[in-house]
Amino acid sequence: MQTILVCDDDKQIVEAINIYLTGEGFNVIKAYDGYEALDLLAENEVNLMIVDVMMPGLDGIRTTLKVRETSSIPIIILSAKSEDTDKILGLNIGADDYITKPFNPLELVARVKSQIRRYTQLGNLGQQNNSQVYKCGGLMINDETKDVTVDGEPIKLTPIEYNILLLLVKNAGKVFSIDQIYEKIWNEDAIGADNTVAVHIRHIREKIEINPKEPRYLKVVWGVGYKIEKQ
Amino acid sequence: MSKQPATFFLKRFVGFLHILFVCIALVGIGFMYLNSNYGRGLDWIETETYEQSPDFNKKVQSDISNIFDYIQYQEIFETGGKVDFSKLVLEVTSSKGEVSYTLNDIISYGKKLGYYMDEASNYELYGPSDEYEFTAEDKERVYIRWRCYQSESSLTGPEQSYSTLPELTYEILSRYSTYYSIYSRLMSDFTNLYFRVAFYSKNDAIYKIYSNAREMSNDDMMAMGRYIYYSGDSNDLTVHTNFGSTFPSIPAMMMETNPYNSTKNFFVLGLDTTFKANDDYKQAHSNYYGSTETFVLGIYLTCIGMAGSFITFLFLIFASGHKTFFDKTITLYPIDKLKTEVMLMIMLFVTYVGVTVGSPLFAKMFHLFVTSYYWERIDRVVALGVIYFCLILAFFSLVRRYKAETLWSNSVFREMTKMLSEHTFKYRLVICYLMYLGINTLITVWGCYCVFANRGHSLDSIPFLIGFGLWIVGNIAVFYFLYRNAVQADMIHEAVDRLAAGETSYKVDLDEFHSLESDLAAGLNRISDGLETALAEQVKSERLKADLITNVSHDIKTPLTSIINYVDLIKRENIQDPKIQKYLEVLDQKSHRLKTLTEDLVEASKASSGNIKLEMMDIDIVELVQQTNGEFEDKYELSRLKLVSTLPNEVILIEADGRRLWRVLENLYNNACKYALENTRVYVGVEDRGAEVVFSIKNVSASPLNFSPDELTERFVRGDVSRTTEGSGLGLSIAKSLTELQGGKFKLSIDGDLFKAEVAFPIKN
Repeated sequence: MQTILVCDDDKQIVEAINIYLTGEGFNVIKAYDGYEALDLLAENEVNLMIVDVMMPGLDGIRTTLKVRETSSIPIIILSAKSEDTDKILGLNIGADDYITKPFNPLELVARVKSQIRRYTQLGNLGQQNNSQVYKCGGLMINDETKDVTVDGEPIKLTPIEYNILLLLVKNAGKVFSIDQIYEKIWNEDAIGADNTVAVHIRHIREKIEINPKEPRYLKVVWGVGYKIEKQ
Repeated sequence: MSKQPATFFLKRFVGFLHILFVCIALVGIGFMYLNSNYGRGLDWIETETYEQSPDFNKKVQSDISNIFDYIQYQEIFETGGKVDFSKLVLEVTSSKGEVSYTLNDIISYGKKLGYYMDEASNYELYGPSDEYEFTAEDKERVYIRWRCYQSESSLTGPEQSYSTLPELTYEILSRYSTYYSIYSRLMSDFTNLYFRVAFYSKNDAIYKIYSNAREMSNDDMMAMGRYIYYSGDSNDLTVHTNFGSTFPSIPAMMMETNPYNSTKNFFVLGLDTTFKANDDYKQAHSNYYGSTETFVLGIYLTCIGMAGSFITFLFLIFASGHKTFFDKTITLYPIDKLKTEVMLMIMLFVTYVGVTVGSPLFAKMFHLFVTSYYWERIDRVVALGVIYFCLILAFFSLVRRYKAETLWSNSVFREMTKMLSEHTFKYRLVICYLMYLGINTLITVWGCYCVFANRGHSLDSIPFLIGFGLWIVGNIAVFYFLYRNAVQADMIHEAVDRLAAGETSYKVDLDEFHSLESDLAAGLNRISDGLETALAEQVKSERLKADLITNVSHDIKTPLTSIINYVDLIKRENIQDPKIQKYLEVLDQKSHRLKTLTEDLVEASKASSGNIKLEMMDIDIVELVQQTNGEFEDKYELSRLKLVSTLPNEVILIEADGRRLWRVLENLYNNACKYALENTRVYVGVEDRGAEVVFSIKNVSASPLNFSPDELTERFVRGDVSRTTEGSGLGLSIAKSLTELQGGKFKLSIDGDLFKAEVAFPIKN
């Protein structure tokens, strides 16, 4: 059974998270400030930590820094601060994910699961050293079997969606415009191309991303094109 | 109370002392001024004796001349060392035939004419008497055959050989008087001056000796306090002397007087500096030391007088105007209540009158005691005194005014400037211009008068030059002032222009401004300050507002998280009661709306205050619209709307922040999605208009649009005023702010039920 440490000074929020995660079969340890969290972390074997930023005493950022000195467990920051700068700061100092309050309970659970799967399965995934297998973070495409998995979860894609995703994953980090994608996939000139590509991309995002509005893999570069984030 | 008379008395006393000291100083100056040593500096006082003084040397020089005169006259008037009255002195040819006159005859005739020799004034000749009437005989011009003082051969012209008897008498008598005067001083009376003059012919046996001390040897004379010895003629001179001067006229006079035309002669002169004999040397000696003492006394008196008057002057400056020493109030005399300039003019006039009228009267009094030689000097001393006393009165009036602070406030000049400043600039300008014109005309007319009336003769006269100089300087000054004003006006003009153009931080340099414009410039700077402060305040308050909203939103989000989560938890509790289910639905909806509202509020405040960091880059607006279409296609289908897009088949680049521009389009698409009438089409398009590219979105509103487009972008104004549907009402406001932040233009228009939004950006080449 996986153990998750939840740390927030708001007891009701901790309790709500406890209910959700317990419902999903996780073991939850509760802490109400940074020092308590560090103590509990030292005493227990913890698989993942959810930490609030604004807390009395040791805040979430400094708690994360402390944890990172000794441990590499996944850390999800849960904060009311929704500015870009806050998110960038949180991710830069060693957090694996950043969720803003108020959060969707389903999304939270999905992200927790995703982080844990990645953390625990990293070892055996690395063994499949096949040239037909393309990997990008938790996203994996086996071109031989046409299988697509995100954090180990199989994803069902249409052939066009699969081809678009494969194109982007093969060229991870490179930005493709709608016309380029159209020409590559349909092998036709993109004159008068409609919204087809954009719609397909959206569908792919809805399938592989936990929150399509804040994609982790398939990113929209607005006014330029689409790309898979190199990880 | 008892102090007042004491102070009053003290002040009067010190005032009296001051006058006394000034008088002492003036007397001292007078002593020095009227002294024979005046103009010789001070060095001589300590070191000089009478025998070194210029007066002494002058006296000896004159006596040396006297000695040679005497030698000549002795030949004329003496026989055997005594005056011979029967000696022939004149031979003339007149109507009476050839007539000879002896000295006695001439003296008798002179007495008849009224001539006399005054013993008291050293036998000076006076006369002739006014009462004597000339007879025809007296007026007759006679031919001079011979006269004692001039040989016949030396007569040069016929005019010199004719004269009248009274004239000849005067000539002879005046010589006689000189002779007698010298004789009585050097030969007969006791004297301190001894001399011997000897002339030798080529044969040593024939010689002539003239002396007033035949019993004394040359060595005796040279043993005296002062002596001089000349031997030989001008070609072969020997001179021994202890006088300050060598009296270089002696050799020439010796040659002139020498009857033998030889070079062998000598001159010895000795002066007994113990002054045993009571002669005029002794007199001059004692006078000299007397005047030296007077001069030194004058110096002391001047110093004491000046020091004393200076100290009393300081005291009077300190005490002037105060009734008692501890009384701070200043008492003004009637003269102090006049205008400052008027008082000064009056005092100057009084001084002028005093100098021109008063001081000659005073001086006349002094003329009673002083010899006429010193009158000019005494006049000056008196004038100095008069000027001093007039000016000191004016000065103390100024001191009292200064203390009472009425020096400037009670002046005509102040009155004039006040009068000028009370008028508007217009009047001042007119008055100043008229004054300028008047003075200029006056000087020009006067200059013309000088040039034409004098026909250029006195163009170099000082008043004309001064007037002309003033005219030039005055006009240059006026031009300078006008020029300076023009420069200042330009600077103010520029400053106003720049301020008006929005450069609120623009300041003018106050050092460059003067007088009236200086106030104007300072005013401009204050306006600039005010604008800047207001602007800074506004920016600051916007920022504070944005910060406040951000912070409040954080505080709202935490409890909101619990609400949303626990509503969700209740929903999971499988509740059958439809009523509670309905309630829960409301709670769920409203809590989510609150969430959107909070987020949008933060975004709106940041966007409108410009508190956002933009990442500007080149983006293709057509690509962006296609991407947006892709994002929204499914959503529109759900809302039963048809998205119709007209896009150019080319890349149109603009400079913008892709994510923010997506937010703009997202809000516009969402807006159309929410408020468009079901089963209608939503038109989106991108149009290249040359310089700019315009994105537009058009939809038919579900509810009547009974408000202005401007209201739509104002926060919390929404299509449906009832505010029941989802959305915060901030979407359009955020879209507008974000567009403008990126340098684009955002425009909404309403035509009946047709709603149209346009976003325009400049095309980047």
